[in-house]
Amino acid sequence: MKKMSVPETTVLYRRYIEQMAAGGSPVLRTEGLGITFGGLKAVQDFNIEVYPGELLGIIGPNGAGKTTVFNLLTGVYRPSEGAIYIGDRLMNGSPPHRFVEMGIARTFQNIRLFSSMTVLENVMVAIRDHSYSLVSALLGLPQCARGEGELRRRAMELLEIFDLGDKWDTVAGSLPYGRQRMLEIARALATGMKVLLLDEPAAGMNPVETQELLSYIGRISREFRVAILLIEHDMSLVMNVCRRIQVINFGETIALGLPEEIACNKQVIRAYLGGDLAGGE
Amino acid sequence: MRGEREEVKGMKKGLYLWAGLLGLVLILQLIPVNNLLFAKKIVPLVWQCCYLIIAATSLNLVVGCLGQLSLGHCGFMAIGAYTSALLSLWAQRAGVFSHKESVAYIVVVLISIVAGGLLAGLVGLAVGIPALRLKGDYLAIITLGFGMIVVNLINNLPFAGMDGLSLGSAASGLYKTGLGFSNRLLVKYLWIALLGTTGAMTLMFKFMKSRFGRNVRAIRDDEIGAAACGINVPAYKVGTFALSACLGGVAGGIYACFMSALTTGSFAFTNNGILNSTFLVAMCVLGGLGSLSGSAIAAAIMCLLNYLISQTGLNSLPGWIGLAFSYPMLIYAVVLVVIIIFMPGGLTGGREISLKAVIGKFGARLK
Ligand SMILES: Nc1ncnc2c1ncn2[C@@H]1O[C@H](COP(=O)(O)OP(=O)(O)OP(=O)(O)O)[C@@H](O)[C@H]1O
Ligand SMILES: [Mg+2]
Repeated sequence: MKKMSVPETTVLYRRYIEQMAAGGSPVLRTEGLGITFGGLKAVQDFNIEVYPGELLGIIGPNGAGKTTVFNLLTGVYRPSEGAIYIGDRLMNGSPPHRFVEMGIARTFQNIRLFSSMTVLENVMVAIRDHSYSLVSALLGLPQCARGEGELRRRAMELLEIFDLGDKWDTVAGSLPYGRQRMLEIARALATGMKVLLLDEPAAGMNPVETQELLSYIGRISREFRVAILLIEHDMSLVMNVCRRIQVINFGETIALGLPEEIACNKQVIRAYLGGDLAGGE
Repeated sequence: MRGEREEVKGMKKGLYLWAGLLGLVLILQLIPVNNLLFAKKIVPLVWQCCYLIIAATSLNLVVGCLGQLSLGHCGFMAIGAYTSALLSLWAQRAGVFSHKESVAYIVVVLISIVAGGLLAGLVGLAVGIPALRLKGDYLAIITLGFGMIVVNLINNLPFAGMDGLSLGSAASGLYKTGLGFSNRLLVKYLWIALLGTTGAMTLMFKFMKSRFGRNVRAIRDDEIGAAACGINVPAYKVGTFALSACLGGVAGGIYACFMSALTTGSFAFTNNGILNSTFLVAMCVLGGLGSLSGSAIAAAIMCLLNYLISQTGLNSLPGWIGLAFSYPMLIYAVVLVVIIIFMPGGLTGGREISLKAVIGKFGARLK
């Protein structure tokens, strides 16, 4: 057997987890998840348990494998080892849209909006319910128009939350960068998810926008009761938002803990300062 | 509520459309069949326009709306054309109809066209499932190969051959008893072409305006993003491809009605006419990728241009003008290049044309 890379945790942290576990079983869970790209182990032995409604940060230096973890958790990549469970369901090998159906939504580090479509359409695409059949669409039956009306109404509601209501008719690609990031979050919310994965949502935002983002994230977690997984380089944001943090370096989890524990964790500091190059491999 | 208002508006629009079509058909019946200009010049042109419009627009569904390059659309047209022609031949042999003025004949024609479309759609499904795993150049090559395979297959089909469709050319004697319309019938049954075109266009517009069409456009803009919104990307790709193939087959069926003989040369990758897989792609680009109305307009324009060049004797004009018009492909090429340089988004810039917007623009210009 290869060495288990589960880092030590504190009593405080374990107590926090026990508290979360008392509130319900994990919505998303992995066991020894790993993926290899042509010999490079981008992620290995990744274990995570996401409890309903929690705020969890994933941090690590550039190229640590954070985005790859998200791609594994959303079915973009097929894991080469380990297992992903949503609820009790084993998800290995399922296509990405099945992950969305099961309640995982995400945003991307490099924004992936439908740039030639309007802001409203972007959100409408992601709404899963209120649908109508292909036949009623082709024949122009009343269900179709009614369904469209309902989709629009729901999408507008979501846009209002992000102050994008007045921009509904704008082509998404022409929005300012910060607004595009907000729209991508609105679109992810439209899927009606249980777990929301945000990949560096504050990247490229100015301090004002970052502050705005912070309040949105708080609101989402309160109002929608979804678990949020946050990848972020902006340490103050992570420390402010997340209740616990998992640190990855070279694809391996090197630390797990509450924000204040992570802030003074020697291994984490070493990883960020690059001391790991000498000692780690 | 807004949704319901739009629903009423949409239904009214549809009603106007069909009423207009009915009116047009009735008026057409009033024009005497032996009116030479009408029967010999205009009617054939309208038939050509009709199948070209359906073919180009249905291809735009894949090339423009879904964003996947397909170079074998005429393969689906060929499947539709030959299926409906053979079916009607079979019906004639089986004694379903005795002469071409009967109601039974009309029913046979309609069923044949629909059947041709369905078979083309099924083949589209079968081809699409493996082909759409590929992207860009690879998909283009696969579909190009598909178009060629279909033509060769039809050329070598034993039953097609024995029935006089061998080597791709139908012995007109046999064929005339089936689907092919005489000049007189082309006038009398012009409504079939109009109905087919209106029906196919309505279907495509409804599809693209619905959540299904929205998902298709989302896939074109960003496949990974679309999958992250819960869209089953492979299923949508194959489904759109099959729908496009099916309507391509319908275009083929209407083409088969129009022609007195079928040759596979008309469904090649390129030939010296304007009906071939390459030219259909050109029409999509000309009209604006992703704009159904655009490709319909582009198809109609190409059809008219082709008519002007080949039928009006421009090529017998003296001097270099006549010379230029003797090489129509040269003119098309120049027209295409000029349009792509000055209007890179095609005639419509990829947007649908709405009557309201056009009127609004004209109004603004007048003021
Ligand atoms: N599809 C792929 N093929 C090959 N290698 C890949 C692939 N995706 C990721 N990698 C590699 O996996 C490693 C982790 O990449 P990843 O994008 O997950 O890092 P990250 O932690 O998100 O970094 P950043 O902070 O820069 O976003 C990198 O070395 C990267 O080159
Ligand atoms: Mg990343």
